[in-house]
Amino acid sequence: MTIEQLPGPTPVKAAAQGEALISLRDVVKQYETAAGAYTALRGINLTIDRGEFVAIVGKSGSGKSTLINMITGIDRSTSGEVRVAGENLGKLNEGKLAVWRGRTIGIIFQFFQLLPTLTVAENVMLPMDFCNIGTDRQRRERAAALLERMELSEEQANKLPTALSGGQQQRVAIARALANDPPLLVADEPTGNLDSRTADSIFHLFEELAAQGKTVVMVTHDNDLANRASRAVVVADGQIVDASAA
Amino acid sequence: MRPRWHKVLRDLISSPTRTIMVVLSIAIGVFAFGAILATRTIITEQLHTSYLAINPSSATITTDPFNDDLIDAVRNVPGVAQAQGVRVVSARIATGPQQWQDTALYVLPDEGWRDIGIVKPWQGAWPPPKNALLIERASLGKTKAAVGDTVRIEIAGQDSREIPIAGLTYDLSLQPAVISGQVYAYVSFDTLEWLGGPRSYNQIQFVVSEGRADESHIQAVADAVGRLVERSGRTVINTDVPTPPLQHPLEILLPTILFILTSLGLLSLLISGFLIINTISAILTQQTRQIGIMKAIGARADQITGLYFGLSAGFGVLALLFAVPLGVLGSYGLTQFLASQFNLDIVNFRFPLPVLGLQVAAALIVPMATAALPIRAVASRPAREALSGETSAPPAGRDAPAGRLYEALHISRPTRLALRNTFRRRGRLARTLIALALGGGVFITVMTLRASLFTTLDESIASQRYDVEVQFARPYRDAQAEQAVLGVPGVTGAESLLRNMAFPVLADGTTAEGINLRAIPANTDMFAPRMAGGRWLLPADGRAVVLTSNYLVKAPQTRVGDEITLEINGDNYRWRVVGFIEELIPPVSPAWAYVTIDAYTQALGGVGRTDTLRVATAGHDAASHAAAARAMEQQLTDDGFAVRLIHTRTEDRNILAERFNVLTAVLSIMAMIIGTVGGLGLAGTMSINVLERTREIGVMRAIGASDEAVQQIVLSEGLIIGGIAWVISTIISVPMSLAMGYAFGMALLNTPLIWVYSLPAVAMWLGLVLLIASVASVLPARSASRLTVREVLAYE
Repeated sequence: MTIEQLPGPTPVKAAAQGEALISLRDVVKQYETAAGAYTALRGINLTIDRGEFVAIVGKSGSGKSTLINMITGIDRSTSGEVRVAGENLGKLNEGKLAVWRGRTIGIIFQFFQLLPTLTVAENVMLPMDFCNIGTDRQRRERAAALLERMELSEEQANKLPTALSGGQQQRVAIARALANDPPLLVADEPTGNLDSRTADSIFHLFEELAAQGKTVVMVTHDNDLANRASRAVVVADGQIVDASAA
Repeated sequence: MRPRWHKVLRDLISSPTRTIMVVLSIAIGVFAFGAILATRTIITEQLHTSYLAINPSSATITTDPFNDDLIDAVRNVPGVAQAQGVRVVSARIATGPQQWQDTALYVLPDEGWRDIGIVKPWQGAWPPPKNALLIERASLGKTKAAVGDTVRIEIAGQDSREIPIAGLTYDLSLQPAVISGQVYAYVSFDTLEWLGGPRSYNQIQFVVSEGRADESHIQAVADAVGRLVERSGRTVINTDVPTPPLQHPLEILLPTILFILTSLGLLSLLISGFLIINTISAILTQQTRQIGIMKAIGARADQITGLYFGLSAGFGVLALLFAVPLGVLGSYGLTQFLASQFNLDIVNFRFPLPVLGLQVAAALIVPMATAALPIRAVASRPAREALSGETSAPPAGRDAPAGRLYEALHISRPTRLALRNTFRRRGRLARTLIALALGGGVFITVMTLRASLFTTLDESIASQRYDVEVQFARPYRDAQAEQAVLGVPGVTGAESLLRNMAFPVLADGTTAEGINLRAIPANTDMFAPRMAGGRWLLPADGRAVVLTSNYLVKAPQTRVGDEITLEINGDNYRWRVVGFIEELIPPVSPAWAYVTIDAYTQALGGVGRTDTLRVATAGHDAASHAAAARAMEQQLTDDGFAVRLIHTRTEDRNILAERFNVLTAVLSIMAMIIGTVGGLGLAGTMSINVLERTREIGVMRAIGASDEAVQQIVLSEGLIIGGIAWVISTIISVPMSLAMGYAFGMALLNTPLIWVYSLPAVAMWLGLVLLIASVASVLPARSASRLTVREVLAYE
């Protein structure tokens, strides 16, 4: 089944010809904590092209999630420049950033993070709702199609997320990430909370999406999975120690 | 419907206890606010409309007896549209053996209907049949008789007669019996003659043809009528132009009563607001991560704000489902209650639509307005902070000094934990305390007001050092009268005085509303008034007068040391004001003036005579008073004295207490409502606190905390909050009750109340607040202790 692209009021700015989809230059991120200043990222330089499937690997506390937060605009850099899909994220205010993020990036979390009081289908429709994309009927149809693609039945679509297994919930989260048909999918340890068989099937989904032209950036500490990505970026102590591993 | 609104709906129903709590607290606030506002609107409108419908007189002139010829002449005075003659006679009706009730006897035309101040038939016969009387419906209770019964009536100076009560009337032109303490009866002229009364009028009532609301115009027409009366050879005893015109006598009291009630209604709405902030804040804290996710998938801050505003409005809409019908019922009850006190009929009770609109607005706006700050704060929080689940909860502070204090006081660990928990969410604690403390403050204030009202009443009654007052139909020799009552067993003293009506003469030569004049010995043993200014009468005083402070309502510029002119028996006399006293007299009632009997008799004659005796008895309780009054009446009648009225101090107290009971009953209901809202606030806070600490409770249970220990911690926290709220209530109730006592006293009695802080109310509120705290904590505590360790540790 094909999934139609829905009309929306805020088209994603096209990146300049030949420009990387993601470009980070000298990105530094510092946090002020009760114990003093803590530097999570120390001068990150990274480019990711369209259609790449990039795994970001590193130990706990290495700065992987902070790096992802820079790319998604969930957090802002202390210094340096973050450009994603043609936008300099440092120049967007919170409101514009939210709309841009909704249209440009699909985010998948380790703990699925579905809204517990919405049904599975409503969870998938929510990004379209926030970004004012399509009519109610179009959203419903697109959500149904995405869930079908994620091998979830119509009956499951009308259940609350807690009625589904972990793997199924993560599939719903991926469907939600695809709702606005973003060019970029960012996943923060999407298999970290799943058994190995389910994790493998979820990873396979990402591989398919990448094959269809989506750019996928995935944080993982599983080296086996990272090796299956087109490229692995290794982060340690807030720095990229290897950006070309495959 | 958009998915985001599905979320709002499910948030409303996913936690029914929380929703019920918030909805109830909003509903009670909106209900109280709506009920009071509707009552205010209905009573004000209907009292005014009903009063206008009886065609109230523009002015009343009291003069020497006259007949229809004078009325015909008055009708021809320019500016007069309608005029009628009125005859009112002082009388009394027997309510038991030697027990009498003061009665004003009005004569109605043969056909019954008057043109001005229309009296309507209410039940039974109409017009008043021959040798029978009709009673104003609101005063029937004071006759202790029913329609069809026969009562004994006596007009001043005449023999008493048995007369049947043939029916009831409805007369809105008079002060309700509950305020005046009088019975109003209606007879025909034939019946009045049969009772020994005169067949003539003594009052002219007229209505001006234009400018009915223009006081100065009415006064000018009244002056013209007065001149006509004087040209006919009669004396104008008094001219009464109501101020302002076209206003029911009780309308002057309404603003204060309604202001206080409206304030209480608004207060309950304000308290609801605090509870809404607490709940919405708790929901926001609980959903911080969800907000982060929504932001991550494209939600803007204004969309998040709209979502939670929608939730707040949802609480409001649900609250309306309760508040509107309750408001209609409440306003119906309160309106009927006040209407019965004002002797007013509510025709076609209709809940005012503007009030309904205000209720809807309040139910929607109050939750949204009060929740605006926490919503904005959370909605504008960066996505990363929200996603990490960070809240604005203050970090746990160091409490080493507190720890040492706990050690020193041997406070158990669970109680220490409860103490620390209490202060963890300081904003929430503050709002809960404000809600509960305001509820308590109002409760103690109302009870203090009640105590103050009755203390003021008792003090006022106590200032009357006599037990029984006997009024004669005509003057007698004072020694003879005193001798007669001193022979009655149980009588320990008697004092003679003279009574009269006096009319303050205004600068333009006209007279103001009459005041009751008492000429009494300067060194009286029977009266020890509370001075509001100046001093009491001295034996050496010449033309000195002491006035009750409600005199200042009509003549606010009067000061101690001023000279005033009083028209007494048609002549003018100047008196120097030497003092003001506080007596429990409603502002709408005539003022009283006291002069020395020596100065009075020197000016007006009557040395050695009395028409009023004040008598002291050995017993001071109601039974002794009643027995003494009966015995005195018998003795005086046997001795040939014509007694007009006997009333005891107990009866006077009961009349005043009846008025106060009505007020305090309404206020107590309001205090209960506000206390309930405060209690709901505590219940809400406790359930939120427990919900937020579900994981913490799980950890405690995992390391060995028993059900009892968990319950003890939660219960202790509730009791600590209740205890702190009680202390604050006690403190704030002092200025609140002082202010309310002043406002109430001035509005209703024209004198500040004697403030008596109600310690029983403080103790009662402590019991109530601890009960509320226990009930509010027990349920969440039980829920918390029932959860399994696995459930609570998995709680997100």
